[in-house]
Amino acid sequence: MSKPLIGIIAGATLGLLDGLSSYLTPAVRMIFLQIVIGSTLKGLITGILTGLIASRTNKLLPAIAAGLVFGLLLSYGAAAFTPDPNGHHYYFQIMLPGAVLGAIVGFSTQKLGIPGRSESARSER
Amino acid sequence: MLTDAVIQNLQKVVSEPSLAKTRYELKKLIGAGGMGTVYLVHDRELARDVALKLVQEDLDVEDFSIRLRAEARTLAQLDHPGIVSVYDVGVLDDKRVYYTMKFIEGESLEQALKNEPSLAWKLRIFRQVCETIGFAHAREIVHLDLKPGNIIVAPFGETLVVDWGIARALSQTLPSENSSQTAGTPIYMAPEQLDPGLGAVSPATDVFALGRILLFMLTGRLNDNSVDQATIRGSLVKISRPLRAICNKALSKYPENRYPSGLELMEDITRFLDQKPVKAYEETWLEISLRWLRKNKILLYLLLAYLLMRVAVAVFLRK
Repeated sequence: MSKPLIGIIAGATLGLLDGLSSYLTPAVRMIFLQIVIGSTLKGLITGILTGLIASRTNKLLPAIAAGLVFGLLLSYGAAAFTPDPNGHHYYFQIMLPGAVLGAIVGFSTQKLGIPGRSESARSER
Repeated sequence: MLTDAVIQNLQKVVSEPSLAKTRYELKKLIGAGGMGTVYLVHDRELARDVALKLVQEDLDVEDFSIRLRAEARTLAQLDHPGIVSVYDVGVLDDKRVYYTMKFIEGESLEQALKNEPSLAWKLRIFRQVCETIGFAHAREIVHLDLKPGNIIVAPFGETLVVDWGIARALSQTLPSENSSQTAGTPIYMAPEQLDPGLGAVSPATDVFALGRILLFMLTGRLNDNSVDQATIRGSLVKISRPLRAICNKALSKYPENRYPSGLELMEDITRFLDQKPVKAYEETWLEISLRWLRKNKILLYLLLAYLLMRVAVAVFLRK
C-alpha cells in the first residue's frame, strides 16, 4: 500500500479509537459524538498529510516529526473549535495525545508503506 | 672465516628464488603454505609491489606446478572484491611455476579476533566471507580449505578469502585423484572430506567449514576433541538461539541438512542482522513479539507515551 493510503487508514483508525476512549471520561461524555467524529477526521487529515511527506523521504524521523507537527496543529484546531458546554477548551488534554498519535501515524506510514516509484529513483540516485 | 651471520646470509640467498629473468624484483618473504611460498616483489614494468606465489623447492615441482597453475586459473575465473586478483603466471629457470597477484596488507581473521571485536563486527565479516564463497559456489567452484588463517581482514574491514590451492571446479578432474577430498585442515573439514565414502565434495562442504569458522568467531573455541564439550556448550549458551541454530545447521553431519551454499548461509546471517526470522530456527510467539518490539522500539515508546497521557488526561478530567 502507498504511504498516503497507510496514513489514511492508520490516522482514521487511531483517531476513531482515540475519540472512543473519551467515553471513559464522564466530563466530556455529553459531546462524545462530536469528539469521535472530530477525532476521526483529525486522524484522517493527519494521515494524508503525513503520508504525503513520508512519500518524499525514506527516513523514519522526518515522517514521525511530520506526524507529530500535523497532529499537534490539527489537535489545536479541534481543541479551539470544540469547547465544552461551559465554554472550556481542553487544549493540552487534546493536543498532547493528538501529537503522539500523529507521531505513531508517521511511524506507521514509513514502516508499512511501500515507497513510490519517484521516491525509489531518488534513493537510487 | 665464515661467521654464523655470513652462513645465515648465504643460506637466505641460496633459498631465495632467482627472479633474474622475470620482471620482478624480490623484496621479502611474506609467508609459506602447504604448496607454495609467497613473496613480496616489485614489478619493474608497472612500478608497483605485488605478491608472488611460487611452488616450494622441496616439493614435487612437476605435480605442484600443475596445481599452482590450476589455482591461478581458478582465481582468474573469480572476479570478486573478496578474492585476490591474479596478474600473471610464469615459470622460473628451475621449472617452478609462479603467479603474481595483488598484494594485500591486512591481518588474518584469527589475529583480528584477538582484539575482541563486537558481535556485529564478527557477523558483518562472516557475512562478507559467506558472500565471497557463495560467489564461487555460483560458479561451481569449491574452496575446500576454509579456515580463519585463510581469511584476510584488510585495514578498512574488507575481507579476502585466500589460499585457493585445493579449490576445484565441481566438474573438474583433479591432477591427483581425490586429492582434495583428503587435503585441508582437519578441524575445518566436513565429514565427507575426511571420509570420501560419505559422499562427494559440494558447496555444502564449504558450508561446514564456514559453520566451524562461525562457531570459532562466536565462542573463541573449536568443537574438537581437544576442548571439553561442556565448555563449548557453556559458550554456546551465551549466543542467541537463532544464531546457534544457524551454526548447527551449517555443521550438520549430512550435507543435505546443511545450507546448500554460502549464499543461503549469508542470507540467514543477513536476516539475523536485520532482526528478521532466520530459516534455521522456528521462533515461538513470544520470541516473535520480543524481536518485533526490539526492532520497533520507537513505536513502543510512542504507544507508552500515548497511554500515559490518556491516563493522565482521564485522571485530570475526573477531578
